[in-house]
Amino acid sequence: MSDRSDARPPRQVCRCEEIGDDEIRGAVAAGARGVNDVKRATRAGMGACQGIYCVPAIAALVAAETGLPMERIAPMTARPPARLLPLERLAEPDAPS
Amino acid sequence: MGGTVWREHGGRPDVIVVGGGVVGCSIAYRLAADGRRVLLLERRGLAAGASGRNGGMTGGGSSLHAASSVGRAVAALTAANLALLRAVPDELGAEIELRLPGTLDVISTPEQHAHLAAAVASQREGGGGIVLLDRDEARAVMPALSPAILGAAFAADRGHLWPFALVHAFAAAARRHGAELRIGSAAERLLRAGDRVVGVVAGGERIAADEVVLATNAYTPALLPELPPGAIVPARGQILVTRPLPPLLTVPFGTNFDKEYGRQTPDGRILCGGYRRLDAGEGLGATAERVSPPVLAGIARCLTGLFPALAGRARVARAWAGIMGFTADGLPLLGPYGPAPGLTLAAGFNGNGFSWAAAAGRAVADLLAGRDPGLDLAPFRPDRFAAGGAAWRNPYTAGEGVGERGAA
Repeated sequence: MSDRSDARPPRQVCRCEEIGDDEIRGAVAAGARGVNDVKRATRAGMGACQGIYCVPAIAALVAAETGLPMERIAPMTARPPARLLPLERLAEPDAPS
Repeated sequence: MGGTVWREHGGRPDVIVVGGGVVGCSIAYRLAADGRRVLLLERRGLAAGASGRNGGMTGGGSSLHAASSVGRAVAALTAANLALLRAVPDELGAEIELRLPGTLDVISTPEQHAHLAAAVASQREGGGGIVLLDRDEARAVMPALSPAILGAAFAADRGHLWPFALVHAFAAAARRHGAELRIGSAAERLLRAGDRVVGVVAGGERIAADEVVLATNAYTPALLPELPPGAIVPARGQILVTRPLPPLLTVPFGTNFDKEYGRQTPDGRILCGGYRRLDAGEGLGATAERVSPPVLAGIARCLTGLFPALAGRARVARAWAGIMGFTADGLPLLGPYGPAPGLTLAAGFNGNGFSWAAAAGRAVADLLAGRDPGLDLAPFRPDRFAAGGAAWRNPYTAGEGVGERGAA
């Protein structure tokens, strides 16, 4: 890890799950190499926005910490239903998913 | 400390563990803590498979294994697992959100009632902490349950945890004890010298070791082609999760012989999975981690049916699929693989890996160290199936095709 870690308070990257850049850097230090790895280590990207706002920032952090180019950072797996869906709507026979 | 000192000095691993799920990481931790030089190979990422896609249920025993020597062996191993899980926060300094309030297996048909009444009687004979509750008693435990239910079986010593946290806790502990966890490295095949397994080929590299442990669950047959057909079969499970809600589910629940299951996380999300019988071929043989609308609709109906208060309040945030390893007889393959000295299996946990993984790690470390694990592992012998093929009598699937009934 670099020397900047104590220089300033952590910045919130995933607002829904309240995950700071310090936690994401920690996940990379522990071996995370993609957005899914970070998600599984920290919960970042699993909140209400489903990663719409935070995934680019997470990927940029992984790239910066690992020195890998952005295009080498595996994106987060897309999960249905993509936006919040009432449970009873999903229970209908012709429900979207 | 830690790191991979043995490697920096040009050493080779004593043991290669294949698979970075909860079982592989648990085994790697115990072996490394024993002073073994451990190399763990993980193809995708820690907890990328079933270990990161399950519902987080854990506990002792199972209503599907009655009082018998097999049932007692299952109960002893899962009880040992629970004791190890309880120790994790202090032992590994990790918060895994373990909650053990007991679980309710909710009864909604007379047939389920008859089966569970018999299973509870049999389990109690075997000393299991399980009681049959009528509707009012069940609703006293969990007031959110629908008045339309007929009752429930309450099992103590069961509950839930945060799966990612446990996998990462074991992985971090393994690293602290010097294990190397090589992520993105796919084991292609076993290295053999005659019958003996002497290492692994991964990423084109031949890596020799004294012992190889496969913690590859559904993916084991690809690395061990001589495993009898049907011994381990992939099975797709699907789960959905809601946005956080106020506390409603006081305990995790199962229904229809625990084939549907769910819980509310400490931060309020409700997870529910099951309804494999609405997937093509019960999800057996499926290897695509893909959800299907009929299964998700079934899960949603299960939740709205059992918990009427969820209608109009619960919003589904995400749904996903994972591939479990089911075995021909519903029991894991745990121990040395007789036909291939040097090879140990810890695979085929039938969708219940978090009820086994911690104890499986300790048992494998004991076996490789020549210590007595103090557990009856005979029912889990990995070479118990006939070479010609294993007869399918998995209690988690038998009868899926004939309606709601499932357990024999």
